[in-house]
Amino acid sequence: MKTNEVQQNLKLGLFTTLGIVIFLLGVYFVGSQNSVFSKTFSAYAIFKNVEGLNKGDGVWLSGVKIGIVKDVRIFQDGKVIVHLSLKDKQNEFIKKNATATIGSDGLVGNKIVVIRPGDVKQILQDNDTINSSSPTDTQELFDIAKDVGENTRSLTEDLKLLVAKMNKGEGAVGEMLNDDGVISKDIRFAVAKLKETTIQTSQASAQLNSMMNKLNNGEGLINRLATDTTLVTVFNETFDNVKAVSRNAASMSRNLEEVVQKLNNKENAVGLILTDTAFADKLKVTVDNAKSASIKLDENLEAMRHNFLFRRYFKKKAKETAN
Amino acid sequence: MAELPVSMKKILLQAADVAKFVGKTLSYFVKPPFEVKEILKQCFAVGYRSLFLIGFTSFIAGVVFTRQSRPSLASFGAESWLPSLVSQAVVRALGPLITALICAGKLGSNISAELGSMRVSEQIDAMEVSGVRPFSYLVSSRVIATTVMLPILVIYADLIALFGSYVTVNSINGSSLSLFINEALGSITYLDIFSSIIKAILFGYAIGVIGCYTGYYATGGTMGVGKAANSAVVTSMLSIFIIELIVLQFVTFLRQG
Repeated sequence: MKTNEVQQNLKLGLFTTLGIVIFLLGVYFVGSQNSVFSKTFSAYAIFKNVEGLNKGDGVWLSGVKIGIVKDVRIFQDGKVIVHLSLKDKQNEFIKKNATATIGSDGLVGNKIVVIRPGDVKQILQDNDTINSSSPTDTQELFDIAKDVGENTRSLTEDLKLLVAKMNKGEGAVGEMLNDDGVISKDIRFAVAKLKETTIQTSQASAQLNSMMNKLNNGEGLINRLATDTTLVTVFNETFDNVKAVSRNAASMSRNLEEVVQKLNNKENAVGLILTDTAFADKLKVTVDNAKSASIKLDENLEAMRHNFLFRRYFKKKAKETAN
Repeated sequence: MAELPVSMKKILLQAADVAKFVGKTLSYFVKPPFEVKEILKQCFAVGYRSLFLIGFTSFIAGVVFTRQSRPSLASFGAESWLPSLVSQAVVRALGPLITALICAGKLGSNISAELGSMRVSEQIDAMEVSGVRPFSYLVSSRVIATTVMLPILVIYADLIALFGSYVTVNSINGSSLSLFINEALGSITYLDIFSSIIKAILFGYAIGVIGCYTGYYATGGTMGVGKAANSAVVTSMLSIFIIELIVLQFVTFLRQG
């Protein structure tokens, strides 16, 4: 055999062997992924509806793939029995009261069987049947969606009527939306007033703020009252004075009361004047007479001033007054 | 039979020739003596010498397919499905198809031209006269080589395409090799692998038989050789797609069953 031919055959042998090794490795890895080479045990679950679960789909326990669906078969009453092939080491985690449900691998992924482990002590045995809960039927979901759709249609019709009424300015809301409506005007007026009030409140708040700032900065009377100790003495004196004035006022009011009591009494002169009307009339006539007499006396005195007998006396008096 | 049009008669006669040729090649698969040296020589030419071309195109196919598929999956947040999508596409269809199409172009034309030139230069006739079995030596050895080597080339093609995909996914997401392998191989079943290998065997056989048939019966001098090579490539490629469709139907039936 030529050397060249031998080399060719060696290369061919290497190429072929390597190809076969890669193939076998691929087969092994795929097999191990599908639990072909590992020891498995079987479990069954009966569902009302498997929602398109297929042979070969995954079986998950707590989010970990622990096996595959080996078979899906319809049996009595249209129920579906699913044969699960589970990795042998995982059965200790699956209890007798475990439940199987149909789930989905992602939002749009394949269907999977999801097992909830259960909480009793007894573990699942080979060929046991797991409790199952069937997923909500798609038809049921469609029915619910249909009901929701009908309700929505009814609601939109009502809303349409409502909006039409509002557009026409009917009802309280319609009138409110109408620019010329009474409610609308009232609301505008109320809003304007509210605006005014807000401005005033804002101003008051600003003043209050300013006052508080002054107070915080140690300005103003209140702060002085709080901090200046000399004012305490002044205040004490003032309060003492006020007290004394109050006492005097009380004494005065008592005296005044006595005076008033005496005035009301006819036994003294003033009381007689105030209470006896006949006496008062007589007194008035007397006063009138006295006034008349006084006028006449003034005239006499004036006449005496011009008399030569008394003229010298009056001049001397005037001179003394001037000095 | 005499009432049939001439063209129809021609087609039927050619179909009968093809059937005979196919039957003969199949019988030579199991009928000794085998031309072992020639078979090994052809295997080397078909398999080893095609590896670089197949590997290079497969790597590019893996990279391109991954890059093209990623935006669609990313748009609904399913980027993590990329390895499983690529692996299924590569193992089920891309790997065998790319390998077969390249082999149809490279080997089909080569085999047809080689045998055609031997035929028009009357070398095959001379072999028959000298007692050498030209069918076993020339045809059977080439058909066996393509039939055996194509599945191996498909295995390499699948591996290299997946490697190209991993390089792309890793450069984008930085995902680890073990995660990629788990994701990629987790979605492949034995049915995928074996249907792919069976497809590759059928592709290899078709490429070998068509190349050999067109070359073995080439006529019309050097122009006839060119026509034979061209016919071999076109017919091989067409037959590859027809085989792909038939196998797909069969595998789908098995998958549903």
